[in-house]
Amino acid sequence: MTAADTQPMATPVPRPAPAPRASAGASRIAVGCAIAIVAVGGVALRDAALALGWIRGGPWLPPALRAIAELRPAWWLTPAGAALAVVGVALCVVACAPRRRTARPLTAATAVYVRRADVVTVAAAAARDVPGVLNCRATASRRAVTVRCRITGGQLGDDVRAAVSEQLGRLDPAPRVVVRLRTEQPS
Amino acid sequence: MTRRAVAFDRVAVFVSGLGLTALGCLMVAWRRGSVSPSGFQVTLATALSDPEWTWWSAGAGVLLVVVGLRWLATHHWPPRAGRVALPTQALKASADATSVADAAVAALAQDAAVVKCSGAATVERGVPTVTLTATVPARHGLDAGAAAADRVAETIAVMLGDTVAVRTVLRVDAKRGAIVR
Repeated sequence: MTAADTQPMATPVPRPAPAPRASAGASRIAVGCAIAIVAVGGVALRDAALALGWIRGGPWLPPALRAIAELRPAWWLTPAGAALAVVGVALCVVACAPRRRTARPLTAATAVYVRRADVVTVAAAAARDVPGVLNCRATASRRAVTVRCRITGGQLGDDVRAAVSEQLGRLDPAPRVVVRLRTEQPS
Repeated sequence: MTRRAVAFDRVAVFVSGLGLTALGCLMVAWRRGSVSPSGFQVTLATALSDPEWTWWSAGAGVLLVVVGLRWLATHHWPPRAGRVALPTQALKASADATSVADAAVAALAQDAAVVKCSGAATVERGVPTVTLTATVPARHGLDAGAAAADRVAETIAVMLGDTVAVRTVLRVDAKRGAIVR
């Protein structure tokens, strides 16, 4: 019997899949652009069919293009141009923005994630379980979870913080827990 | 969506943004008298009076519709994973990735911590990927859910090795108040 035979077998771990992410903002805008391109193409085809006598009605594209051709400088060009420039800069920013993570990793042997919105649910539920807490709301940022509780009285801050920290201890990294208390007299 | 499609979207949106910014600046400059688009307007008016305008319109319409539909077609869900090769040396064997995901869902659903479970097998970045989505109670659900997910994922690793990637996403059911452990 060799030393290798006596060693316990290592538990195989699957290849971790990447964290779930939201679709890129650029892709959502791109879908809108693609639909707009198809719509403009459809209008152009309609005008062509109209000119060939296949359908009846008035043309749409030539009047619009003629209006551009006959455009003269006017007061509204300045605000409209500024608005277009702002939209253009916003598009450039969105195009470069990274995809947002929709879930946070948990400390586990394999790739396990919890949705960001559910971190808030867990925190609020943990805080509500503390005796003396009437109601509770929670919000979460990337690094901190803030719980706002209505309590009957007393110094419950440490208890609430401990309860929430215990429930969220698996998050990697564990968030900073901020507790805001408001004392209310039960009616 | 493929990474190439996302990259194309980003470049297209960035170029559109630059174009809109330039157009906005031109409009402001035109109002101030710095530039004049009279040459462009004359060209546009000439094109509109061209007898071949109809054919130009038809050609541009077909091109725009085809390009737009092709662009739209790149925005699809990730493709389903087919068969994955099993890590055996003796014989060539493979397994259906969707069936693996279904079996993993069935195993995960048996855990007391899991309220509801679903799964899918897709190809992400060229790797067959099993994504399990499990709903757990709000109280002590994360610990129990993560432990159950580890057990199921490790079972998949025993059967398939690292030929597939595994990911478990936990959802929390706020209405379930039961303490799991």
